[in-house]
Parts: sequence; structure tokens; C-alpha cells
Amino acid sequence: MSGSHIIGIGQTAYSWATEHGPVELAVEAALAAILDAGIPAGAIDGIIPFPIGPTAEDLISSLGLTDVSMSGTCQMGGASAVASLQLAESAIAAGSASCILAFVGKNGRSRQRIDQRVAQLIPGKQFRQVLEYPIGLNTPAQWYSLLCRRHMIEYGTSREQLGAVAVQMRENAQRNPAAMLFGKPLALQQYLDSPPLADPYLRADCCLETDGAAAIIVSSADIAGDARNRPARILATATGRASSPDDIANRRPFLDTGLAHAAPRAFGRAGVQPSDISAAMIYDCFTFEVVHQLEAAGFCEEGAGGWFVETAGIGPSGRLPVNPHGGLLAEAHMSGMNHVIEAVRQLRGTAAERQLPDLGLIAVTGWGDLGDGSIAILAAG
Amino acid sequence: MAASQSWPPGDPGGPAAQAPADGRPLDELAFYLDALGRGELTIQQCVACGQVRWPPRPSCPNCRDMTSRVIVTAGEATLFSWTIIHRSALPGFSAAVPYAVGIVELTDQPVRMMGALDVAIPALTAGLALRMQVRPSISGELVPVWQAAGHAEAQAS
Repeated sequence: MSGSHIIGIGQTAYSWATEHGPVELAVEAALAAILDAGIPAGAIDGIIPFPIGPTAEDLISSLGLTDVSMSGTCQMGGASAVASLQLAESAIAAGSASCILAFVGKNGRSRQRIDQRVAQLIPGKQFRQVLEYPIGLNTPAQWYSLLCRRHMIEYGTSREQLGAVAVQMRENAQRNPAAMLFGKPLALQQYLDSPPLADPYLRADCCLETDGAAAIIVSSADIAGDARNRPARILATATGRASSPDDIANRRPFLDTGLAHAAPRAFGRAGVQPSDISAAMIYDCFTFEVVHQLEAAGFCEEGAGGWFVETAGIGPSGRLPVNPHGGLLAEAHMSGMNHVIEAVRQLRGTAAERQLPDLGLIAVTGWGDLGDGSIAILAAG
Repeated sequence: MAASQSWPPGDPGGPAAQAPADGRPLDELAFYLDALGRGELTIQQCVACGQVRWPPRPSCPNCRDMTSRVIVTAGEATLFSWTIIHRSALPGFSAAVPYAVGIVELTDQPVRMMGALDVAIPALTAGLALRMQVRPSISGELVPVWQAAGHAEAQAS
């Protein structure tokens, strides 16, 4: 074997509120990932924290790591978790580290909610604060709904097509007992009756906010050979930025995303086409971002994403199964680290009731800040 | 200010604007804020290659030249996209929902910008002709507010 492999996955319970703080949650998820990998904790020599939340120092201290030789953080908002795979792959290829812990941990619902987090993370802070806050614009739902509206204008993308995403993610979560919305199915009419937050976005178009943590361990081939569970091989990773990544309004073309730049690089490096992918974990912060990223990654033509989700199908038996765990919309908002974990489970064949049959390659995407993109293509190790 | 103006929505006596939390100097936006005080909407133009740009940048993304001039726009635009905000946690705005915010495309310059919309929600449509007025926001700052061009002319006459 060669290259980089995801050898361990771990997560806490996902909840609306917990008395445990972000560091404790991150340590719990990291320990679960270490156990899953079957390695000694001391083997970890690299740390990739999410850009907000517990730090490398927090985890080094709590886990008693004595020889961490590499750490770094990807500044891509919600695209950072998948971008971590690129950073890990680079570090392993360079010999900077051989066993890297990447994690997300937060009280994302009970304490620091989304508008507070983006106020710290968002690019172009001076533009947000001087040009946008004074006109009442300050949340991802509001910014991204402007993208969705324009797609509706240009391509006729419909409310029902957005609803198809929300309904499918919720249906998927009914096969995932760990999902926050397990036991709470959503009918299309319930979706349509959901209250508007930033029209065209209704509440049911918007992802969850979550308390919890998720962690993975990425290693060299040598270490992966001794892993307790079947590794997932990283075939290719890529990241990209939209033009004017700190400003949505003047992007040319308007619907440009980082993923549109990253995806061809990832498919090229892996030597495969989008049609070779068996299933996709799409960063579903909002329903339209599934439509948007299916197009940006090349799973369908630009403008056809609405048709794709409604007709070609993103359910388990659809043209491209998406987020069998329920995604950010229905499992939990672990900033996409839960998407990486689900991809590994599916490739191992341990996804129980929601296991997809006959899997070859899985693509995992990330979307963050005002349109940064990341993608990884994974195969069973 | 005319009593019929419906923007800003709600009570204009909200708390003062949030100062930039990271203390980043606003030099790049100073010309724009100064011009709003005169009722003008301004953008940057590269002295070397002539390309206009928004939001303000220290260098031209086209030719990398760092010399720029300020140009006054006509304050006319068409509606490119919009969102109708039904929930806000920003001070003053939470009581003002629903209100509309849009991306407008200037008619005299190849630039789009975010803007407050003083347009009846059912009248929002792609390509709607808009005209700008500078008004105080709920949070106290002067901001460009876009009205349907026909409505703005009727008010002016």
C-alpha cells in the first residue's frame, strides 16, 4: 500500500444541548477514533483542528502526546473538514507526520450558535461589518439564499426541488439511530409548511445546529496496514476558491464556487470521472447547496441540479445516493466531519440498515465561508 | 425625510452599530462612507487600466496596480437577486422582519453590490429597475437604500 488512509473514526452523541464543553467532546471523539484505529494514542504525531473550537494544544495536552511534529488548520469554514484530508495527505507525503488526528468539537447549538461562529470565521469581515450588517444581513442562510434565488431565476429551480433534498435527507436519517432527527420523518407538505427564515430558505431548508464532536485519524500506508478496521484509501483531494472569495455579489460567474475549481483537479488526480462515483457525501448546509454542488462537482450539468435531485434521485436507489446518514440537514452539523465518517463506514460495509450496496468510490465535498470548496475521493483500502 | 418611506423597517431608534470587532482599519472603505454622507454612491477605478472594482481593494485584481481613483455612480441599478429575511438576531432588525435585502447590478458600471431594498415584497422581481437614496439604517449608519425607480420618481415629483 501507499498513500494516505483514514484508519480511525470517532464521534460523540449528537445533541441539542450537553453539559460537556467542546474540549471534552473533542477528546471523547478523538479517543473513539484512536480505539477504532487500534493504535496507541502516542502514535499520533499530527493534529489538524477545525478553524474554530478546541486547539491542537488542547488535544496534545489532554491526550498526553509527547512528540507531535505537525499541526495546521485549513481556513475554509465548513469546507475545512474535507480540506483537512488534503493537508493530512500533504503532510504524510512530505514525511512531516505519519498519523494525524483531525477533529471538530463544539457546543454549536447550546452555546456558540451559527451567527456568532461566522462573525469570527467569515472572510472579508470589514465588508460584512460595514456594508452588510447595517442592512440586516449577517447569516449564512441569508447570504446563500441569494445564490439560491439567482439559480431559481436562471434555471427555474423550484421550491419542490429544494424540498426533495430536505425530504430525502430526513428519510435517510430514519435509518440512522445516531441522527438528531431520527424518528422525525418529514413529508413534502411539512416541508412546504415550514416557516420562512430567509426566503427562498425555509427553516426546513437549513441544517441543524449541534453539540458534539467528530474525529478521524489519517495515516501513512505503513500504519494503515496494522489498523484494527478496514481503512479507507484517499485517492485524491483538492480544494478551491471561488473568484472574489470574500464577496458573493461580484463573483464571475455569479454561481462560481471553490468546488467547481477543485473537483476537476480531484477527479484528474484520481484518474476517474464523476460518473465513476458510487455515492456522494455532499456538504448540505442548505438544500440548494446540494443542488449547487452536484453541478459544481460535475455530477450533472449546470442548471440541471434541481432536476437531478427531484428526478434522477439522490436516495439510496437513485442515480447518485447522497448522504445516507442524513447529512447536516438531518444527522448533525459536525461541519462535514460526519460526512467523512459516513464515507468510511459505507466503504467498510458497516453502515448497518443504511449500508449502500456495491460501492466503489465515494466523493466527499465541503462548502464553507462564502463559497470555498473541498473534495476527496475515497475507496475501500 | 418623507414620511412615506418604509425603509428602514421598524423602529429606527435601535442600538448603535457594532464596531468592527477585530479592530481592522476601515481605510479601504473611508471614501465610500464619506461619499454616503454627501448622498453619493462611489466605487473604485484603477488609474492604470481603468477597470472599476467593488468592494474596495488596495490593488487592481486585473493589473495589480495600487493606484485608484474614486468614481461616483449614477445610483441606478437592476435587481439581480434578493432574500426576504424573516428572522434576524441583529440589534434592531429582529423587530423589523420581514424585510428584503438584495444584490443589485449597477446600470452604469459593471459592478454588483448588496443593498437594502425598499420595495414591496410582492413587487420584487429579477431585473426590476431601482434607484438609490442614502438613508440612516436601523443601526444608525448611512446606507444606500434601493427603491423601484418609478416609485422613487413619483416621490421626487
